[in-house]
Amino acid sequence: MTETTDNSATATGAATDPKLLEILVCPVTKQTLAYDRARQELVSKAAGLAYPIREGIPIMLREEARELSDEERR
Amino acid sequence: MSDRPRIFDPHLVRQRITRALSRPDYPDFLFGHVNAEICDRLALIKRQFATTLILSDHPAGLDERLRASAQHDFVIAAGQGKRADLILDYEVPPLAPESLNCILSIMNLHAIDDLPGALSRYCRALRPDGLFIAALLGAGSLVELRDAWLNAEAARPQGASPRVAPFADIRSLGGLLQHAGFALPVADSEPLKLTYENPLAAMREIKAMGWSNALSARSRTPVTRSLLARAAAEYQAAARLENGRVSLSLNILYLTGWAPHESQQKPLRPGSATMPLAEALKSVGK
Repeated sequence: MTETTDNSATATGAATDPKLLEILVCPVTKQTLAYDRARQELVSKAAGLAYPIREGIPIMLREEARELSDEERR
Repeated sequence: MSDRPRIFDPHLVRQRITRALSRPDYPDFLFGHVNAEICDRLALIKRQFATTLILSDHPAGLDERLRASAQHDFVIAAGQGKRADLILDYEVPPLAPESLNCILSIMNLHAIDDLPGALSRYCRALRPDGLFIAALLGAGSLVELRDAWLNAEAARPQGASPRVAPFADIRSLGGLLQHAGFALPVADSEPLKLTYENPLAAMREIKAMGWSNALSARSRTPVTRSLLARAAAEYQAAARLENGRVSLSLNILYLTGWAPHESQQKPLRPGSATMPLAEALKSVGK
């Protein structure tokens, strides 16, 4: 797990337990995820997807994930 | 993912269960029953688990119970329901390799397409000597319902449509566990017979549990009143008990396996014996 942004001032909702984030990988590619604290997303560059964290709960579903833009994929 | 035709419609499986769970009168007796059985089995294992993952749409107190127990240090409740710490797809769990010490899957692996694949993914997510226990519906479950709809629809010109999911046979599951990489695999079953006042009450409960038909090949035509009546009559005729009620069979399978570790017991290599068999038999005969 790597952290891309450390901007806790803009973080929303309940905090996710870091121990929970440690066990998570992208369900599609099995690659490590980057935790975007500001957007509350777990980003899988390999899959081109960002999984949302809502009220502290990671939603690790392909159908709920946001497609990364070309810029974000770089 | 592959383009193979899917057995289950995963979106619908999820939708049915989350809608059912959102009702205040959700019938959760089965989760309670299975949770108690899982706790009994855990109590027999003299082991401490640093990180435990519960996979359940409705933990029904299992998460709290394990958090309060000295056996489990850190407990994560994952599933599709509202109270989960993590929402996931049981078939493709987002779990890092060797990240967990104990995985408990409560009544969800019967509603996925790729059970062998999922089992090996869970095995890889366990640290060496990690424990996996799963409870799921097995072959023989809902047989009354399957037969009733089959017989009711078979008489129609368009024939029968799939209404009850296929369930895995216990005989194949021991092998599946082994194939998935688990050591010391055990599969056992608990046949249950529920009884209902009439077939419609049984059907209503299945629906209330969120277990309505979520098969990809399901008929998209709504069930007519006459077809429902015919299915109910077939059900009544086949499953009527002496006291006038009807039965509904469930066959709960329990799977147990361990992530391999050198400390575990293993059969000796063939030819590695130090005593001739004849000698050994002689000493037994004495």
